[in-house]
Amino acid sequence: MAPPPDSLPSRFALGVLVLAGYMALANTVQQLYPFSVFDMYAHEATSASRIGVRTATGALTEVTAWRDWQCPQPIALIGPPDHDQRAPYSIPYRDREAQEWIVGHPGAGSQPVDVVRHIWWLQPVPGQAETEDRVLLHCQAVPQ
Amino acid sequence: MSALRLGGSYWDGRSRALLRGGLAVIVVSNLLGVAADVWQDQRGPWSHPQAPDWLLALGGSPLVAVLLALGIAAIVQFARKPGQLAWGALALAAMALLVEADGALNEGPKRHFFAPGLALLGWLVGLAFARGLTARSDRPQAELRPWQEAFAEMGAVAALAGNYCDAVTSKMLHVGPGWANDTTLRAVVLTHHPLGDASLAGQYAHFVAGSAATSQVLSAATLFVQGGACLMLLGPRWRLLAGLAVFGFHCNVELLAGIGYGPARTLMLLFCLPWPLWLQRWPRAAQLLAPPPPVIAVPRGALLRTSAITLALVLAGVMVARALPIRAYAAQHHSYRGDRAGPRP
Repeated sequence: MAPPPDSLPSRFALGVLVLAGYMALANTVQQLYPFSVFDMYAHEATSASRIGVRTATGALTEVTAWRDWQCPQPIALIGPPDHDQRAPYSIPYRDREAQEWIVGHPGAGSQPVDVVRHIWWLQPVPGQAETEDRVLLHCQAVPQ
Repeated sequence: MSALRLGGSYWDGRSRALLRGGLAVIVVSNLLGVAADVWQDQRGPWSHPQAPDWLLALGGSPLVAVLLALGIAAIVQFARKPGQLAWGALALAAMALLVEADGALNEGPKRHFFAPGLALLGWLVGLAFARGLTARSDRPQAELRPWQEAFAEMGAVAALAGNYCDAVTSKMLHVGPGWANDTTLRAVVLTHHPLGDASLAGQYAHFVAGSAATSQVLSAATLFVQGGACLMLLGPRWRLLAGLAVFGFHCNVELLAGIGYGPARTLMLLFCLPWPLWLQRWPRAAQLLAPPPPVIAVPRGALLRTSAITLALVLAGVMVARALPIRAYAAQHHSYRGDRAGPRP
């Protein structure tokens, strides 16, 4: 069935206005539902990092693979933003989830594990390793 | 059918009741998701430091159930018949309150809740625009409403496209074309994909994280797909092509980083696939596409007048938004708020 021809230019004009208007308002407010600039991953990253668990055998696993955490207090894995140019890229909410998992699953762990920030240097400077572990806590935990 | 039919749709000449109903179902699903989050949330050290008390007080409050019920009741009324601008606006307001409360209680709004809201907003803007076009028509509004939904559909599609154009614009403003480098996507994959995942998805993510060239190609594809979303305005076939590209992009991101964006993907399928062409093959299903909306010519003067008013309203909105501290509030969404030790309630 053919569309009503006279409405097509009007609809296209509306489409352009809505698209441009949405972008203009979103870039003005940055974030106000339902407007957003969706800039979550807009920044350049040359490294990556995660909070994980390094086991006694050397395996790197998720903290959620462990329970009954027994760690020195306080458990504070997340520090203030590091503006050092070589500070590794991380996702704050992922770090917080890892911390909350450990704090939220206390117990009498039996296996020694290290909670580490594992870093991948994707553009390592000469002499620098491509990966690195920064130990955050020595704990005892039980595998799930 | 010509591939380029500016502003055209597979739904042309057919009732858009199914499209409206599909949007309402996605909005209900979104309302349920965000209400569940706010119900479980409590104000804490991780909450927005400048959020108003009344917004933070929604966390775990019975008012969440009230807003949810209000939002669902409003969107059901919106879905029942064409042209329900006020009911749609009420549903959008309820959803906006819940999403903003969720963002204030946590470290910022969860963007996967945004697509249904902006599609609904676009739909409502389209309806209002069409009403402006026919403001001086002799026909009764009830008769015009099915025709006005063609504009509502275009408004929703354009708002969805704007979302992806914003995403690519942000990348251009922050980094430029160099965003499609050989490290950024790998960093996103490595920070999100579960450690030690031996599944097929895990192997794929591991491969991309380890391959600079693949990462660069996928990053460049991201820019093209997000920027190409504006092609959805050009006509039904372009919309299908651009929509499927966006859908595929989201599927790939889910495989690589576990970031699903289910509502956005569902909206792409709803608005971009040729559902009317498929449904009309079965007589019983074809009945759902009837009755066809009336054919109404738009006078050139009405188009110019309504476009000018719309543009003026957008500019006024920008000026008002600039005068309010919304941008400063948004900038605090992801600020550092101490070590946030302690489990959530």
